[in-house]
Amino acid sequence: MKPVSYRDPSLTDNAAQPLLSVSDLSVYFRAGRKSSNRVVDNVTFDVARGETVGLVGESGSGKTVTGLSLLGLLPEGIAWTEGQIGFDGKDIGKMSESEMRRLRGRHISMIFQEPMTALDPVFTIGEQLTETLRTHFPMSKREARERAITALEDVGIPLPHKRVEEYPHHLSGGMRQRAMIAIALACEPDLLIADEPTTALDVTIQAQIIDLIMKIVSDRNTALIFISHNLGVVSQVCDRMITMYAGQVVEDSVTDEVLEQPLHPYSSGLLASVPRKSVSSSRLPSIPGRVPSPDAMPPGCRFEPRCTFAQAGCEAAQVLHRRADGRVVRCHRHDQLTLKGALT
Amino acid sequence: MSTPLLSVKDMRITFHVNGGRDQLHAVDGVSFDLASGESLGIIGESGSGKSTIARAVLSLLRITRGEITMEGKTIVTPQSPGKPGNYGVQIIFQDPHAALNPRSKIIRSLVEPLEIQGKGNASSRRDMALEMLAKVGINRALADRYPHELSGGQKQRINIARALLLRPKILVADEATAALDVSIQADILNLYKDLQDEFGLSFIVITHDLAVASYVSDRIAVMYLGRFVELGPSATLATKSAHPYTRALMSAEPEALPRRLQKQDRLVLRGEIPSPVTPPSGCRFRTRCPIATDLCAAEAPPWREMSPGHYSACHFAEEVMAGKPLDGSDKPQNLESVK
Repeated sequence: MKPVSYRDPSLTDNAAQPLLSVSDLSVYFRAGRKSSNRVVDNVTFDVARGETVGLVGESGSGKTVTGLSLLGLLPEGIAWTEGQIGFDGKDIGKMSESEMRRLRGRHISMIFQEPMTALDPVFTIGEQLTETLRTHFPMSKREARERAITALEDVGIPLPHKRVEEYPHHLSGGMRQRAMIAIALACEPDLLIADEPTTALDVTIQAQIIDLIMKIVSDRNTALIFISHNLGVVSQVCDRMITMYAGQVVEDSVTDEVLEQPLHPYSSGLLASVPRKSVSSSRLPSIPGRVPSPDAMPPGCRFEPRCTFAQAGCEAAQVLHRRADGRVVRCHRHDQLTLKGALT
Repeated sequence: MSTPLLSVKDMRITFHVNGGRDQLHAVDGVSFDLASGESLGIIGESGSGKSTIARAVLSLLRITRGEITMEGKTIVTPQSPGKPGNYGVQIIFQDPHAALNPRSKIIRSLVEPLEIQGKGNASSRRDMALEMLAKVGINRALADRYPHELSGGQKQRINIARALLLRPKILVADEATAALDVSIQADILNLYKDLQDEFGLSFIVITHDLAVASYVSDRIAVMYLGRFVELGPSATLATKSAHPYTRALMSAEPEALPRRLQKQDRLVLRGEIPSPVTPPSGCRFRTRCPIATDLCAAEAPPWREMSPGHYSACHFAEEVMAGKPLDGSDKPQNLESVK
């Protein structure tokens, strides 16, 4: 069966304009009665149509919260945002809940680390797929079911006509992740946000899922935001890599450029601390200290207390530098330092 | 040859599943030795049986066949299970938080094993605990804190300190860094090496992360469906692997490298690990193996020594070792019949 045209005529399709444009996004979480913590701080980045962007950093760096805020999925009353999230020229932050619902699953989809918690255990895979489809497209039940079978087939699930009748617990971890991808991609969204989609999987299954995601996004020209702490996976999947630290973007460059020559000491430290098959016996360089907690952020550069290159000037708050070569970095020493990359 | 510190001989561990109707051999005929001060990595996918081996070595579950000896002395047989914690083997688990009692201060969690073993008196136990905290790089001021006040990396160090307080000869790390961030993981892996130097400690490192295994282990055992498929020095497995499964694992793990240096011929295994209740006939890996033939379905491959200390269970070990392509380009035509 051939896929119907999912292209939404209301989309501008303006190549010059980025699909997603996040500017000065801050996310606050309530902490106690009167205070709040800013866990994402003035995050700014664009994603073009069809572009694959990695969002990397340690736990607590704000990558998942950034991803959730793009879909308006932050817990209401506890978290709120500032700044603009432009999607295809429209400001997501100003949308009503019903407008958001039309966007979610249709134009922006998300897949999560744990498919078992993201899938509803009391509905069959088919019911969950057809619900998504029928929410966004006028379709008969029978038509939606056929479409669901195709969607499962597209993600490489064997015997899809049988699987549509099965419940999530019938499937293995890798198959569940495929089913979740099928649901997220059923309406051919323009942007897919994947939050650690392979972290809970074995390497062999991870390799299958990575291949699947890469094939689908490139076939359909879907933009991808790939949230991961695994630099190896990101280096395979993503054209561009945004490194976050303590709620801020610290570097935004083409992936290969970061790997060869990172500009921020934190990107360099992350790369160095990954154990490699080829290297053994020597000590693994690690980053001393730990990520500051959101209620005790250093006033200046947030990485300064852990940075081996800190010197005078680092106690001041750091701004994002947009360099002539197009790379973006939050370190005032970016043109003085020659940092270690994946090969050095 | 001197007596190994730990020796596991032809161990089988059986679980009864589906209401007792079926037998599942989670570990099915595994043998290995561990020398004093040595570090052995055990890698494999979920369901391969690696954590079951860990629990058996700790006597946390009963074995159904085989035996485990420590320094030549039999300590575990199917008839007489060993007493956990009594023969110099300790374990650290994946989730550092779940392994600590949330309602006890750190110091309490640390001295309790010493109390149970009847070591020293109250004040000497506290001193021993504080000293051990310093050795794993934890400020002794944290001893009177509760687990929730500490980070994951700190908690894992405390679990290591607690395990070491009973002066084990072997420390089993079951995915002990899997839940940690890379920079914290690097700290813990470095700590393993320090402890090995300082205490002459032996390690069994159970992990699904090949890079972690290669980094900390002298030798690596690769497990698939309850059996070892390959065992050998870490460097040999990385460069001259003699089993297609090991090659596939190595190939599947993405390295953080620029695109121009990434492997282009990445081998992605089809399918998933089969059910251990009804393992495939012959070689258990054959259903996913890109070079399987009729022979693989008919006969289980013998465990052969390919070079000193390097073992493989594959009918085509020599060819795999010589770099036979595994993309199926020279696959024999009779593959259909083995499926």
